[in-house]
Amino acid sequence: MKNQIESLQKEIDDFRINDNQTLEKYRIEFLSKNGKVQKLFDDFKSVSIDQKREIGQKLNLLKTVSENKYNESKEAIIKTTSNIGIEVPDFSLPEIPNEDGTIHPLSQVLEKIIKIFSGIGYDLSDGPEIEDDWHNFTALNFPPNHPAREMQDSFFINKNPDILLRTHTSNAQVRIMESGKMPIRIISPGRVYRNEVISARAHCLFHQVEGLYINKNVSFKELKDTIYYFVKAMFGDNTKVRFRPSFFPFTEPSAEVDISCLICHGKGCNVCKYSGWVEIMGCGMVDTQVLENCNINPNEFSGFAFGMGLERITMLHYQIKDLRLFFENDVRFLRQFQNQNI
Amino acid sequence: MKISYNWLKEYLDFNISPKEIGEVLTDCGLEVEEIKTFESISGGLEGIVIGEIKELIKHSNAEKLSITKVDVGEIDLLQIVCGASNIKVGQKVAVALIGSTINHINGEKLNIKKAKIKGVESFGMICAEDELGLGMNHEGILELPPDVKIGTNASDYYKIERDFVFEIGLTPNRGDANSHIGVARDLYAALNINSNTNVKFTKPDLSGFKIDNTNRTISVEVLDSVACPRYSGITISNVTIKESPDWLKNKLKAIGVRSINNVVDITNYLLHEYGQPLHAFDADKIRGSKIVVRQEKQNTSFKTLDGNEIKLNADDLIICDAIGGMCIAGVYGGFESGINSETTKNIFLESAYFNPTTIRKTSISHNLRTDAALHFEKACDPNITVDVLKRAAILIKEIAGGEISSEIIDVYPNPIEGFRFSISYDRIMQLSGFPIEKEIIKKILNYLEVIIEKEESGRLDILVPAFKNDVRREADIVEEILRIYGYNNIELTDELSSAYLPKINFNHYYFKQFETSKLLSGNGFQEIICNSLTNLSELKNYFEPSNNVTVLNSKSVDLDTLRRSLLISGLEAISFNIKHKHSNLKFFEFGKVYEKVNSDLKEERILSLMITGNINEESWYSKNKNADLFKLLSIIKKILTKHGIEYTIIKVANSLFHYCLELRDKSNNVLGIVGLVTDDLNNKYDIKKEVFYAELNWDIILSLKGKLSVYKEIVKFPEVRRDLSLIIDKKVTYDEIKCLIFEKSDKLIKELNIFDIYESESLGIGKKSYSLSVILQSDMKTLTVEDIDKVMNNLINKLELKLNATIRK
Repeated sequence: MKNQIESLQKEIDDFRINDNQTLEKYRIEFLSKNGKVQKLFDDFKSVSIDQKREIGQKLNLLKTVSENKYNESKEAIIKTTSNIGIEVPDFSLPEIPNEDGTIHPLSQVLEKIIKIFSGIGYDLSDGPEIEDDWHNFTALNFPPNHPAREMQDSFFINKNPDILLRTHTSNAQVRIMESGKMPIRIISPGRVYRNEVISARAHCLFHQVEGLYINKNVSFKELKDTIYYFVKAMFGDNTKVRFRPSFFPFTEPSAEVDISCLICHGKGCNVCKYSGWVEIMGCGMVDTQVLENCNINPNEFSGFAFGMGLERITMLHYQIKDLRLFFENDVRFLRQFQNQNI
Repeated sequence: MKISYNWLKEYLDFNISPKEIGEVLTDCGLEVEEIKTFESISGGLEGIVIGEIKELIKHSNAEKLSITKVDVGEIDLLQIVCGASNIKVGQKVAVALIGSTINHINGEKLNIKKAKIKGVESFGMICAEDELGLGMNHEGILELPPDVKIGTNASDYYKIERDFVFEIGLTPNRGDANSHIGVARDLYAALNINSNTNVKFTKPDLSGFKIDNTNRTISVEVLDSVACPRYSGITISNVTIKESPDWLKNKLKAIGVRSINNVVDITNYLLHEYGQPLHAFDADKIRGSKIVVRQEKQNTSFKTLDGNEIKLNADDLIICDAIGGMCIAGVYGGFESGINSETTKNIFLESAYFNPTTIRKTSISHNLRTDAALHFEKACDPNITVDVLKRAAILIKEIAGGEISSEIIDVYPNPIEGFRFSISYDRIMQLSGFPIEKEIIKKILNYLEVIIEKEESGRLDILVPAFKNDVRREADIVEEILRIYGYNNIELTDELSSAYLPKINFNHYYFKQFETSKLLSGNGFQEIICNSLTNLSELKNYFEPSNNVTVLNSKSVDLDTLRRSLLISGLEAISFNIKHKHSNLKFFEFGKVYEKVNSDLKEERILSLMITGNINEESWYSKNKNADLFKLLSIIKKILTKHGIEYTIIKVANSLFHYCLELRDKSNNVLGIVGLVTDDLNNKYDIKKEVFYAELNWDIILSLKGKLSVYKEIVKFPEVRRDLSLIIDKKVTYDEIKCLIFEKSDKLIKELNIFDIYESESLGIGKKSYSLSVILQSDMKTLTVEDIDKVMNNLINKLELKLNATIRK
């Protein structure tokens, strides 16, 4: 039996496998049910008990070696034959057209703004576009004869009582303040209207994102910290910020916020009219009268509000110079915003 | 508002560049939009010197030209070719040297270069008056007096005034800064608080004021002291009305005010110096030597300064004499009573404080938006009327001669002191959010002329001067303090004081919109945003007019109605792009539609989808395929699946579409519609290809609680697929087949799909072929051939029996 094993071992070693045919021949001759290795296993039954251990080990080894030879040869054949007859295609052909659509640049910028404020705990809030006088003007401290009302040339749906298309998203702020749940920390994006003749620099509709934070001990410094956080997240860490005292009927103190020009970085160019600065938003501490109008005790709570024009931010970001492009829906314009790096 | 740098220097002794002053002004709330250089003569006569003509010969090639040698104070004489006929040896002339630019009176600029004129070199240009920008004269060169020194700069000879003018965008609350002195006050405070300089604020000296006699006293009676809280006046006799001196003309010119005559110029000067409008009457035309401040009857005729006749309102305040109206108070002068350079000898100067609301109403109702009215509207200082009169009287005597011939008349029955209230340091700190030294607070108040009347236990009782009309509460004072302290000097700490756990609704409309937009753009759809205002006539034939929400006062007729559907604006967008040769379009829009239902004005959020043309781009890779209903239905399926919403589709009638399908969920909520747009609408927008449109009721979809995904064990036993080709009547729908197959069926059928549709007459008239694949699987065991055949035979029997189907072998 030992000799048989050895001679079979030699036979296996000497068998040359070159291709699939010899491989199959090898399998049938040695490894199949009727093959030579199996035959030795069949004969193993007759081996005497005292030799079983030794012979058994040798036989198992033979089986392993013969199977290994089969597997290795098979792999080698696959490797050498698999690439034959396969050609490299003309990979210089133009790529399959990118059929992705694009998200409107205003929406892309809005999403980023919302993410930035979500990051510091601002919820979303919205109000109707068709609004009454109280929520659009009176609650926000625009008295009937105030010069600020002159600034707002509005679309009226009804007169006495006045119903109009909102001129800012601040109506959402009034509504949430009136709801009485404190503290309030929201941004209110939305569409607003001004009765303007449409041109490159003015449109009858545009979008705003306004923010409001009301709590105990809210301060002007915190407003400034918040705006700086926003500007750096929106426009980059190197952007400089400037606060200018300004006036709005609904905030006191009020400020306008400028950032260093994104084009010339403050050196002066035609975008910033050679000032190095571009205006991006208005903000301020919520006027105590507004708090009172919304039944919030100004001795207990204070707050700040800010607001920016989405079109303005988007125009600055992409250097778009004509407002009308946003609403004309020219695909030659819209398709330029595939890259969603904002 | 234009503010002159040189004027400011008359009140404040700073030595700081205009650019830096501009920054300080912006920082304290007076936004400098632009700084312009002013030169009393444009270009400032830079590079132009006075020379003397030493030699003169005729040009040999041109009869009209002379070749001159000019002494401009250099070692060599300059050779200049000149065409003027009045040129003579010994003349003193203005010479533009090489490298200079001359500013022609008509605005053109010319760079002077070395030139060759008809073969002769010329090193400069001898100038005419218009070429220097000095006047209109072009009759030969300008001849200067013989005693002018050779080599003198023309800018020195003509005493050019240089100034810098700040264009300030004044906010409506800053009536106190509507003048040079008002701006100087802020600048004074800001410079002293924020720089190490110690700037002094000097207001005009009024000590020279002296009453010469009281020969021409005019009495004043105010009948409405609410509309006119204060009225002051003075008479000046024997003045000479003439042109103003250059210094005054230049001062006004710098800030863009045209010179009229010396008296009017002085009133304008003081308007911009103090912010106090003055009005000069011809004293001899004040009938009865009496002024009455009152209203006229409604519709009384009044002839204004420019000769127009207007009808007065009953609440317009009028300055009358003993007989009738002379002037619309604070707004516009009258035709008769104004001063006239030919005839006026004696003047009465008015300096008053009128109620801002009264002035505003009158000014707007007659559309007379004069400088004076705009000042009065923003609220002037009621407590400077007399000072301004004194200043005016001093200047008039100096420039126009004459004598002061009345006491200052001053009707001020209820003096306006200002606004008294108290502020606390704690509150200031709390609203500011950082500590400011008490001393700094007090200094700022002091510089701004706010009087601290008492300081006790952390509180200040203050009196805010009347000119700070908008400072009446603690928050207003905080703004005053912070804007002078400098918003930009507040240090950041990178932390927010009040941190609390927010409640954020991540299912909010916007979050859902952004998710869906990404899905849609990834599937080739382009987001559009259309105007929500449209033209009523666009909607007329398609929507019930009484439900439209219309705008009363649109400036544009194209934008008078809020849209009822996103379809019309979407078709406009398609039409626009087709005109620009882009006709393969897939659009989506998130927008609102508006509707009036009874008296309710409703707005609802909609997601619209539209496709037209090819649905893929032309390429070597795949064949073009036209937009169709199924493309739109599949994208809707994707959207609603993401929201976990199941729905059924039924056919409905809708006049906007050839055919229209409606989507409903199990509770019968209408989720939206899909349809093929009618030719009628397409034609209206010049669209030739089919447009498929879908509208999802986004508000409803977001309000539904969609199914959540739940994990199910993966079945261990293999799936088996069997294919079936059926020949059926064309009328039979896939849905009927599906219902039949799953109806009381063996639970072994897991999935049904259709992989081929074939129609041909060879199948029989009115027949079609559907090729189905059926997936079978058991949760319990591996299916045997017998198991499978049993199910399939059963199925075939049902199809043959119920749908009259023939199975293709």
